[in-house]
Amino acid sequence: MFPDIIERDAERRLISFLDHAGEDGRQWEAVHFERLELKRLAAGDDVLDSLLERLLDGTTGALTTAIVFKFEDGDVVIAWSAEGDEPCNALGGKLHERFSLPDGTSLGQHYDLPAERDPVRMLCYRKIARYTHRQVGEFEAAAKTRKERVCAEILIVEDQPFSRKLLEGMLERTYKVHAAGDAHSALELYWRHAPDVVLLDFELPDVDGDTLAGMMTALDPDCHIIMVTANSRRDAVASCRRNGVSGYILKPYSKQKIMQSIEELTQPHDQAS
Amino acid sequence: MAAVDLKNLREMTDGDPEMEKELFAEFISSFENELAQLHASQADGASETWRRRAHALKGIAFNLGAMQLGNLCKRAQEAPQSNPETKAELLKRIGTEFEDVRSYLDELMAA
Repeated sequence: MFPDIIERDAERRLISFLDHAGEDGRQWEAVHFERLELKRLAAGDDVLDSLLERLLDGTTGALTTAIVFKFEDGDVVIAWSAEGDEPCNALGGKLHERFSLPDGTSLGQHYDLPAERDPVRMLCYRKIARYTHRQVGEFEAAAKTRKERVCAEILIVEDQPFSRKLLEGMLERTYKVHAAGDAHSALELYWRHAPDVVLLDFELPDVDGDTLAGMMTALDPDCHIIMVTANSRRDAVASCRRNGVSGYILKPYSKQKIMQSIEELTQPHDQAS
Repeated sequence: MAAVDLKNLREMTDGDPEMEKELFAEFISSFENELAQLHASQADGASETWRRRAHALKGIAFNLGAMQLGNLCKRAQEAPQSNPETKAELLKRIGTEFEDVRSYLDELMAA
């Protein structure tokens, strides 16, 4: 039911792949070329740029080295560390050794970044959600009803019951409201009902709000998503923007701010109906 | 000064007393649950869990209008790497302020 996009998938697959590949060179070649072929990242690659920006603007501080791999199916894996950090250097060496063509060309890219102490980390990211035909069909049927709706439909995605009920109570007098406490339920509600506007919290138990926004945008490029969050970090705001978010409201919010933001996005729909 | 400024919340509920009571009860339940998890993360030293739980508590408190409580949670959120003594002190202050908020809400619900 859940689109195949959870962040940690790529890390698990990579680790499993490395373990497996270490046992048999031939198997490595087969896996390498048939299932997990890596491509050289071009300069200016959007995925790479956004990931590096996320790293550099985030709470991790400055970095000394980063190794970036992009899988053909959209997964991206980045390993990074401070200079002289043995575990990450070992991992980097392992990655370089494994992911290279017979002529020695490395398929990953190695970046030298400003030095500062930082623990070993891996960031794994899958950019594109893949929906089943049934999910897409269900969404398209629901989206066709948008112009005929008497009132706009709002999807609230908020894991805290108190904050969720507060928004529900405020909006259900004016709109048809759907509510979810996690990304999994939210996506299912999205493709079933094709809401006109999504009010989305940033920190959710299963997937962060920026990632969920990207998953919704992948299904519906015209979706209207407003982040309603206490997270004002610059990298979080930038990531939400990249993932198709239309607006950003910080907690504590006012009724006027919420209603005005929804009205701005649904006005053409209301006028047409 | 009251532990909670309900002006904003009352705008959202259009002053519906039944909805307010439901929300107050939900606030107490949600906050208690998150606070227990914050305590647990302090005990096992999980700084990312501490930050996420403090962030959640901050959002709940601010949405209610409990600004003093929200500000304490914000301090906790911004100090995930603090030593156990500092975290224990923050937990104590959050717990005390939460009890004030709870007493205030209990009075309103009983009225």
